[in-house]
Amino acid sequence: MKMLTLFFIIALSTLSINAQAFTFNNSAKLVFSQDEVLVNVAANCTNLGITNEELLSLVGSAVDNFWNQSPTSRLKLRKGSVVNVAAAFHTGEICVSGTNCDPNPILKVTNDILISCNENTVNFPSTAILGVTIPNNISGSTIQGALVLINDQAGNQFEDKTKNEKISIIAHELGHAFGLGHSKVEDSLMYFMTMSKRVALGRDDIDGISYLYPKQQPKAGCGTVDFDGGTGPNWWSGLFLGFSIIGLSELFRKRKNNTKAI
Amino acid sequence: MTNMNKIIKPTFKPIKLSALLLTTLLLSANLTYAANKAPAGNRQADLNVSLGNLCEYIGTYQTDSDGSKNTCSFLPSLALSYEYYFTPKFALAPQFGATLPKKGADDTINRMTLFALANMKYRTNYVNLIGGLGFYFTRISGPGGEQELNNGSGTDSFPLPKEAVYSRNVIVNLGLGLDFTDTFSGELYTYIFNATESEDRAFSIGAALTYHFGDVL
Repeated sequence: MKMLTLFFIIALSTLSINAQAFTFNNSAKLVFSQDEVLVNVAANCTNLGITNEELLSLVGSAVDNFWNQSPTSRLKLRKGSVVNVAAAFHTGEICVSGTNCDPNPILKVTNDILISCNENTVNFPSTAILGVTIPNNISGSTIQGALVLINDQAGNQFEDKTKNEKISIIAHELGHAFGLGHSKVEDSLMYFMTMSKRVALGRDDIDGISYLYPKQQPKAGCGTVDFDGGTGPNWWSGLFLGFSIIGLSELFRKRKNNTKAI
Repeated sequence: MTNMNKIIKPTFKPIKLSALLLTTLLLSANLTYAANKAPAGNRQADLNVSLGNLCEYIGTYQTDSDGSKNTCSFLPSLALSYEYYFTPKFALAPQFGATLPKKGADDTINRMTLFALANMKYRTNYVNLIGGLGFYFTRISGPGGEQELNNGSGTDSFPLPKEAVYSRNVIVNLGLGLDFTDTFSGELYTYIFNATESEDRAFSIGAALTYHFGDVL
C-alpha cells in the first residue's frame, strides 16, 4: 500500500498545467513604493457626457471592484478627489514628439495617479482609442506619479459605453498606471480590448499585480524579528512557529508525566 | 494605448475534476466505521502525507466573457504533516506543502504555492476538527524578455517578468477530517486569506487524501 501511495504521488508530481502571462508597461519593472495610491480626477472633461463627480465615482468602482480585490497584492488604490490642473492636461501630448514616448514634462504628475480628459489627436488618432496611460514621474525604479488620459474628443466612444464598461476601461488604464502592460489572455482585464461583461479581474491580472506588489504578511512591527519578504519565502518563520508549538507540547507532556510520577 | 472597441469571445473553461472526486470520496465514507474502528494514525505521534486538490480564491476572478467567476480548477497539492498527540484527542500538527507548479502555454510564467501551517486537530467520535494558522507563499516567475502584443493602434513590445517573486499571506485554516481506515483519512478544508480585511478577503477550498505512516520518527 505504501508503494501504491508513493506511485500516485510521483505520477501526479509530473503533471503541469497551463497558466497565463502578464507583462510590464515599461522597459523595466517600475512600481509605486507606497501601499496606498490615490487616484485623482482632473476637472476638465467636456465631452464624456458625465460630470467630474460621476467620473470620480466610476474611479471608486474601478478600484473597489477590480484591483483592490487581489488577495495576494499589497497595493490598494484609493478614490481621491476632483482637482484643478493646467489646461495643458486637456490639450497636450502625453509623450515628447520624436521620442519613444519620453514623458512630456509639462504633464508631469507630482504624486499618485491623475486621470484627466484629453483631446489631443496625437494621443488619440482615432475615436476608438479610449485611453492612454504612462507613469510619467519616475525616480529610479519607483513610480512617483502616473497620468491617465481619457479620450475627450467630440464623438469619442467612451461616452457611448455602459457604466460597467466605463468602469472596466478606467480599471484597465489604472493597471497601466501602476506598472502593468497588456496581457495576451482574453479573459484578463489587461487584454487590449474591452469585454462587455467584465466584472472582475482575471487570474492573470491577479498574478501581475501580485508580482509587482507582493503582499508581505505579517508586516514587521516592533522587535527584532525580520519578516521582510517578497523575493523568497520566509521558511524560517514557519518552521519556528511549527516547531515551537511541538516543543511546548513536549514540555507540557513531560511536566504532566512528572506530576503523575510524584 | 488602448483599443477597447471590440467584443471578444471566451477561450477557456476551468477544469473541475479532482476536487469533485475527492469530495465525493469523503462524503461517501461510512461514518460508523470511523466511530467504531481505530482512527487513522491513532498513536501518540503520526507522520502523514496528503495528496489533494486546492481550489484557489473561489469566486474571486473572472473566467469568461459572460462574467462567470472561478469555481474550482485542477491544482494538485502535496503536504507533509507531523501530528503530535498530547491528549488522546488533541494534537498539534505542523504541516508543510506545495501545489504543483503551473507552466505557461507560451513559457512566459510559472506559478506555484507553498504553505507552512501550525494546525491543531481534535478528534471527535465521527470526524476530526482541524484548525490552524500559517503562511501561504505564492511564487511567480517568468523567463524575461519581451512579448509583442496588440496595443490598440498597432503592436508594441511589453517586458515579461523574470526573477521569482513571492507574496506571503497569513492564512487561517479550518477543516474537517474523516478516518477511512487505520492508514487512510480524508480532509476537507478552507484557507481564509486576509481574514481581518473584508476588502480582499478570499477563500481557497481543498480536499485531500492522507496516508498515515504512524509513529515512525
